Amino acid sequence: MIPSATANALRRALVVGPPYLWLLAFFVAPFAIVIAISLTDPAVRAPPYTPLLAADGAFQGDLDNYATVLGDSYYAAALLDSLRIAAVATFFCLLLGYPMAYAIARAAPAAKLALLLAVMLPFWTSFLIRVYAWIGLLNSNGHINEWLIALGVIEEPLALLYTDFAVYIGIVYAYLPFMVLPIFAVLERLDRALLDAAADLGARPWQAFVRVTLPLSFPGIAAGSLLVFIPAIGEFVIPELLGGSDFVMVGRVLWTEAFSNRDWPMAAAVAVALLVLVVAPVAWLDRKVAPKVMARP
Amino acid sequence: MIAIEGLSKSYGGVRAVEDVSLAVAAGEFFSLLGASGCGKTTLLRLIAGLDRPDAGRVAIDGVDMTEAPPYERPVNTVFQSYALFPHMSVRANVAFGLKQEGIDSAAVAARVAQALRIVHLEGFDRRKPHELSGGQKQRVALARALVKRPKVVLLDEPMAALDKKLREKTRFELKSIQHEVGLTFIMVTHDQEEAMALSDRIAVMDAGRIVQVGSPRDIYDRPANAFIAGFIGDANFFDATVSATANALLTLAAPEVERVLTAPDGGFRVGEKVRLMVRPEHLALGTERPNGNALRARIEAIAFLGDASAVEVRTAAGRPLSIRTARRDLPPAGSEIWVSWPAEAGIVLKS
Repeated sequence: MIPSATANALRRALVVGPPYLWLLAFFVAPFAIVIAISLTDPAVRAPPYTPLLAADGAFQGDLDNYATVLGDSYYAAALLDSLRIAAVATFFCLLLGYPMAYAIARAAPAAKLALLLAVMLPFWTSFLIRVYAWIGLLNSNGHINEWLIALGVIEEPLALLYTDFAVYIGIVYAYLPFMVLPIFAVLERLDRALLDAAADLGARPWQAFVRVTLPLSFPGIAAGSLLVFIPAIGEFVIPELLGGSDFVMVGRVLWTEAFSNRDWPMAAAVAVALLVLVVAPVAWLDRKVAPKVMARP
Repeated sequence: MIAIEGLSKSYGGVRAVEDVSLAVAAGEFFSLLGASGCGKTTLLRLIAGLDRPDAGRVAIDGVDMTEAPPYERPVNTVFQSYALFPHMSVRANVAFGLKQEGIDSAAVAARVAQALRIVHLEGFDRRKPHELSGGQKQRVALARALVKRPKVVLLDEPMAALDKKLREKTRFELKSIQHEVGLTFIMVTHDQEEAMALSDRIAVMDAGRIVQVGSPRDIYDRPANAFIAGFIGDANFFDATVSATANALLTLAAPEVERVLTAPDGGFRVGEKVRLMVRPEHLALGTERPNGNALRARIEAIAFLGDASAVEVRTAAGRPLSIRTARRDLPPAGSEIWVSWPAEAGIVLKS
């Protein structure tokens, strides 16, 4: 039987439909609600914001909250600090993660499995507990200070906890596997014959790395960087537990606006601004960089 | 150009290449022929420097290169999978090795263009490897190896990934390209037809060793043993015993042949057990009993191949024989016929 065009279209819709419905129900619709709330003003009622449409149906939303986000240095600083911290943490994740991924990809099969397991093992423990463990390590009377004093490196305990440094350590530690795994996946698939060919054509090992391995692992670097950078921008727990009071990341701002100040419209506006900040680098990578470096197999 | 002495290499206790010595002359098209796992690719990798030998020496153009890394050897390879860099255009792939030498960009461009012209890929320089057909990829790989003007070009099963038609066409092209550039080529192949068609000389390998080196004619007409005779072309074998030697001719006694066979002498003793090999195209068939070597057989099957026919017959003793003949007037299958061959067509091999 030759299926009719409509039957085909229906079948296609059945396959393609669910993911779209999922995105519609759990991303587009909530995001539309967040945008709608961001256009209103806070009010002492439930829900705690003025309706977008007045009783007579007139539109009464405005962009005041966005003006505040962009104009008030408190919000701009939070967003910029978040970007900076996420970017620096991503950089260090890459610096640590690439050699790790490379070593795992080159390890003997048995060692490879053990090393991969070691990378993923922390996920078996609660994220919160692991971040708390860093408090115990970084405290002024914590283990790191104890060891440094015992070794005679320092005399007075260093102020490690509640600093930028502690936040970087926390983020790099927590997100490192997300950098290692995609890079590993790419390096693992890399055809070793390409390195033979590079050597055969006169490339020393480091030249072969720069000209062949590195460009071909770019998809993994991009995926890993996004997997670290995006959640790190909105990271709430790590700066809350390990960070100092000298800067505020945007996750904290969202929390304060939504729960302490009960200013949902402001929180919504900050959330939308954050999303724009996150989507921009992804869109740039996708449009400009990916087509240049991604090679179809 | 290449001198190899006592080269050996094992992988995890398996001897891939064992005590191989070889000399390849400048400008020669030399083939390493053998079944898969015979060590031919390992030998090629040892010449390229991609693997290090356990013992022995490799000299290229008189310079000992045994310890030299691949990037210091005046040798370039066409890999079996082609190993084109997928993130680079055809031009960048071909230019890769030249950039490595630090040649200025105008000279690089000129030499890349010339190399692409030699392999008939003008106008493809901006394509990416995934936009090329298998045959085009193979040409890029060849251009990439030729462009550095190495002393030796190594080819690892260069035709294996191509379909039959293209393979035969590429064969002639490869030969003419080698002639044009005048470089020494060493090719690894498992395809005896390919090795015969292209090579000045062939080294037949088996179990890590070289079992015979010679021109295609030498190896075909005078195989050193039954393995080579069977590997290079088709062959019919008879078990026989030497009954007399006289006038540079050997007389054999074979149980299934009614007459005594004669074959060129090869230093055999009377009474020695030998195998007689006759190529299918040297066997003739007829209804009348001819003079000389002849035996009775029945036609089992005839396959018409266009330019010739392959005839399967079975002797009275039950031995199957293959005959290749250009004759069109063949008796039908089931006919009783006489199979014969001239004395000089019989090759006597050690049993």
